[in-house]
Amino acid sequence: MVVPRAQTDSLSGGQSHQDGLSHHSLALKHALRRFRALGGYRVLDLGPAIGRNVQFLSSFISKLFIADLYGTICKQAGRGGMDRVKLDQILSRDLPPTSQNPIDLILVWDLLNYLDREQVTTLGRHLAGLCRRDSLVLALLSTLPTIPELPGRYLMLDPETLRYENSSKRERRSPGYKEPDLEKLMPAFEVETSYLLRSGIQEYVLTTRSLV
Amino acid sequence: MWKKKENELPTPEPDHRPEPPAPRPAPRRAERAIIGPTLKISGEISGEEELIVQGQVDGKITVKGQGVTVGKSGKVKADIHARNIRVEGQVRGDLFGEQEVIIETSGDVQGNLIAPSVRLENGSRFKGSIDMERAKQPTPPPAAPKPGTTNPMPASPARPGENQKIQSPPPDPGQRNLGS
Repeated sequence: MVVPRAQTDSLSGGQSHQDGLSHHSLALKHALRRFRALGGYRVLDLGPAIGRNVQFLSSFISKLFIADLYGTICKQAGRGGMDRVKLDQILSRDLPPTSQNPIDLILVWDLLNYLDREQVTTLGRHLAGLCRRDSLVLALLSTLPTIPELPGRYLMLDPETLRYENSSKRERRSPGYKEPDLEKLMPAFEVETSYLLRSGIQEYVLTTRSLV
Repeated sequence: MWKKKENELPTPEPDHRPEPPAPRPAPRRAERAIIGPTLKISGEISGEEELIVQGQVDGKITVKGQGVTVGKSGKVKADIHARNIRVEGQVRGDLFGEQEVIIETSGDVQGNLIAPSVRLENGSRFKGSIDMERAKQPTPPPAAPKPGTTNPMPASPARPGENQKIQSPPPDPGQRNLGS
């Protein structure tokens, strides 16, 4: 097991959801290494808009889509409960149209921790329609029994450092998705690499599955 | 002999001081138009002066060479074309900034941003796309290499999946830890 260098060595399982922590993200480094050299890429961020990330990404991307998906899901869930959320409709409306050029990198962050299995499948289907061969997906899954009540915000401090911000005071049960779950629920993707952090977060870099 | 005659009027000496400069027209103050918070406008607004929107606008806003600010109480359902665009209120529409688009902390934008520079302040809300390349000035073609020299980089690098495949870095087996 590799535990990447973290700025918070004292972190243990129960302390992983502290606000304002920075960690060395090998997954981010892995994903960006492919893109930074040439530039001109298209990135889809499923998280909320973060000025710092826009600033950081602007040096080597040509287009950034910000979906703020969880914000939209929460708005809709507020009216009828999370189970009644019509994710399919939200995704059809809020993701970039598939008729445009494909997306090179999708930043899912920790959103999958907040979706049930059916929703993960729906999301995976929509994302697959946006990708080309070799597109990458960055996802952070919790290996801990509980997670913060709401997804966090991840700030890119540099090409290999993420800062985690979370305003949740309460916690909820983690679905505990693992690699086999991901590949089963999102069959268009396969795990290219993953890294387990000391904090209990497992970083995944997925890529579109090769059609042989 | 040097005594002046009493009745003789003194002849005025020639004035060598420079003529006072002709009054120049006062420098033109930057014109500024404000749509107040109780105003609602449907239609197209166009002009060449700075515009501040505190009310509601549905339609299209085009301001040549000047800035547009959507104030905190402003609600705009329109595409905005301007040199600089600053949003403190709510916008549903695409923002085309010749120089810069700024979404302030209180700003809430759903649409597409097309500008060479985009700034989202902490706490601002944005959903849509940010296109920084389309708005950039076209760069002149690189100078032709001198005879006898080689250009180490292609003029326009191919993107993976198009003309050239980028080798993905080999996975480091020591770093891979799956499904733990």
